[in-house]
Amino acid sequence: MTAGYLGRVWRSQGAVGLRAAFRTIAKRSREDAVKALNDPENGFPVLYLLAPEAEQLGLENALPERAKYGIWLVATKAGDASRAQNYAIMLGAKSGVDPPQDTLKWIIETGADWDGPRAGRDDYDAAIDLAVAYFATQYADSDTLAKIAELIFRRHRKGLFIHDLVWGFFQSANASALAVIAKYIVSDNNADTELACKLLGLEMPKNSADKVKAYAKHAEWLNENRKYIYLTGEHFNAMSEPHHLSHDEEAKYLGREIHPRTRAPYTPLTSEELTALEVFRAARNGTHGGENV
Amino acid sequence: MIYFNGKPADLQSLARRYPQSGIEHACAAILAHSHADYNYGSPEELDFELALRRAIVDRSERLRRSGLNFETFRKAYCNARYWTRRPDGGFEVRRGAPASAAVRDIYSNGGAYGTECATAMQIVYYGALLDTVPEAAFDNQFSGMRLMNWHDISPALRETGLMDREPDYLPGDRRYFANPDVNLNTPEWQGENVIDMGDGTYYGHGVGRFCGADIVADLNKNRRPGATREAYLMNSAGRPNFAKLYGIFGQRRRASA
Repeated sequence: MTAGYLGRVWRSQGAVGLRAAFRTIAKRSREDAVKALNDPENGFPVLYLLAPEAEQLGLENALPERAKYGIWLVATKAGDASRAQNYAIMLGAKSGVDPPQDTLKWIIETGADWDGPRAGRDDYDAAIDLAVAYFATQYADSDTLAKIAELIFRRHRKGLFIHDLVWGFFQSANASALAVIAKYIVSDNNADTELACKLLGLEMPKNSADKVKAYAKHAEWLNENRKYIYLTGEHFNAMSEPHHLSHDEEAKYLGREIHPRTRAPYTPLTSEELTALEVFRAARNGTHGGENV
Repeated sequence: MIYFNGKPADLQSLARRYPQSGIEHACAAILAHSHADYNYGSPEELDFELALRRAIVDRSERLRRSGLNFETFRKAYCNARYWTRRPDGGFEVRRGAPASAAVRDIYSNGGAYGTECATAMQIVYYGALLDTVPEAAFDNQFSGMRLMNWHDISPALRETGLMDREPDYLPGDRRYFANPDVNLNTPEWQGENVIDMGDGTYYGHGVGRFCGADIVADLNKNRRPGATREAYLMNSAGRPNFAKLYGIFGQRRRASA
């Protein structure tokens, strides 16, 4: 996660040792301090911990750009408008900060293995959640979704807050998100299985053999419905058993792929399809609510 | 329409049973004039539901005035005399503390607590039950009570976490204003859990007691740049399973309820 010199210092001596090491470098040479901050091996946690030092030394502008985005996320979640604005100015953002894909990916990939100085009660992990929401909304890819899922399950095992993270994760509106979660059905840890089943709307399997069956069945379902998956808008703030992503039965009946965010078909339905849809709705009338393509 | 043991209820006796202008009367009128069928085992079971609905509305107003603060789960806090804060931001009654005393403390000492809107709904339900059932039965049922959002609910109140489309919406229903284009920076504004107060207003912790249009306007202020969708009141409600609660507590209602 953080393999550079400062990362090694943090690993061996903790945050206090890291800050002391950085101050020693800065005392020796301001130029060396700038170089140390810009070591490409630095992960987000190291730069998060050093940002206040850099600010005290007037070196915040020397932070690498991706760290500036990260600290902007932290300040935003902390409600520190002045600090957030300062970083927005340094980033040259005139009408809102929009962190780029590789930056968000770096924050998530190097930052997700740490819970912050107070383990889930500070603005560090809130900023990670925010990075996830930005990333998932715009750029979701399967590899990063898998990394985010790892974080969800790790936090869950520790009993930490996961609902904003889960919400951000599913903002991807990506069927791959379901596949990534489904892998945890077969986990040896029952807490993982329980959470995976909750997120996928499945019954908790009774034993290992049932876990494998449940996973296979879900994979088959996903394969069959992938083109009809959409973001429902359900989440833990509103209900206890949200289906963040679901499939549209009418779209499936017509065999028409839909946009996962708008739930609309990519091209308008033909008159034949509209007629077929009326027949479908009439046939299931009284058994399901009116879902529309 | 209301049925008792499969027989249509007498509207005149219902009108006499529930005084005009009260929450019970408003609820009974909606149920009695609905095209949907509402079956109760006895008039007392209906009494129980309506009394609990009234208590939910009353407790919502009391919670609004309690000084309870709004905080996100990461920063949630509670009175350590009665509650332990869990790592996920939820609260758990301290061992040895009666659940009734712990819930009452939130209402009388609201400033010592900070949490999100979903937790406030749970506090309303527990407060309403305290007003409706004997304290001993409450403490027995809810020993070791936990408060969080809809993720961790007592089995007795499990159904409050489910949102279903209903033929009628009544005072005391839990409703939800959704904000589909919420600003990513403020997921706490992704929606508002509210109680229908029966007078055209809704109580939501963090927003206060306002009509639906005002709550929508508040949520709309917290949308992402370029948002195209407005906040809206979802066509669904979360309700306690009143029949189940009557089964648990009904024979032991408070004399004054």
